Amino acid sequence: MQIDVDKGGAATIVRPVAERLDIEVASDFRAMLLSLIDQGNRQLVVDLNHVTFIDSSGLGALVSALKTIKRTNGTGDVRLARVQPPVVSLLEIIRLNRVFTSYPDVSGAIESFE
Amino acid sequence: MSAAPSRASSDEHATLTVPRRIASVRPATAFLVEAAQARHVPAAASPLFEVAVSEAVTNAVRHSAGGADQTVTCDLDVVEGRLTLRILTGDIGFSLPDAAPPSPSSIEFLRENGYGLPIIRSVFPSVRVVEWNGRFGVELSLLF
Repeated sequence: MQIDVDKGGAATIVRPVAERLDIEVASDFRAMLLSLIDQGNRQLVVDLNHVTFIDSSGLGALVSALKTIKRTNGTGDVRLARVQPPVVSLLEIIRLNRVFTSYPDVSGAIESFE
Repeated sequence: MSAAPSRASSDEHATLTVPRRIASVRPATAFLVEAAQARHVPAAASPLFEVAVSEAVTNAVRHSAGGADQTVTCDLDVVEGRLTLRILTGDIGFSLPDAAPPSPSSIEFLRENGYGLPIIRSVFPSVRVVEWNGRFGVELSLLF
C-alpha cells in the first residue's frame, strides 16, 4: 500500500494512495501512523481523497493513532480531509464523526492546527 | 477439506468457498456483492452493503475457531424478496463482534475495534449465529 507523507505548516499530511483501506492493508496504515507519531508528528491530517472503501480495521487504525496522540500529548489531533461520501456515511453510522473533525480540503485541515 | 476456492451458482443461489485467510476477504466480498447485484437486490447497489459483507467475512476469517487450514464458505440465497447470506466456517465455533456500538464519548474509552457488527446491522436487519450443514457461521438477511 502506498502512503504519501508531506509536511504542511505544523501539520503532517498522510495520504493513503489506495481506494480500499481495509483489513488487508490496515495494519500497514496503522504502523505508518504510529511511526509518525513516535517521531514527534502529533498534528496529523489524514487525506482520504483516494479512499472510497474503509472497514472497521481501517477505522481502528485511525482510532489507534488518535488515542496514542491523546495519551502522550493532549494538544495533538488526527483530523480528516477530503472524506468521500461512502466513508462519511460509515463514520456517521458508528458515530466516529463526533470524534474526528473533517475538512473539505487539506488546506483547511492544516489551517485548523494554526 | 480442500483449501482451493470453489464456486457454484444458480438463479437463486450462489456459493463460494475460500481459504480462511485475510487475502480471501476481498474476493469473497466481491463475489457476494456481485451475486446480489446480479439478482437485482436493491441494497447491493449501496457502498455500505459491500462494507457490511466485508465485515461479516472478516469476522469469519479472524475470529472463528479452528486451524489455519480451515475454509470459509459464503452462501447467498435470493428467494421471494429475501436476501440471505451465510458465512460459514469451522466446526468448532463462531463469534460475532460485540453488539453494542462503541461509545465515542471519551477518547480514553474509545475502542479500536468492535465496529463490525454495528456496520453489519446498518444494512442487515437480521443477524444471527447459525449451524448449517454441520458448519457454524453467521446468517444475514434482509427483505426487499
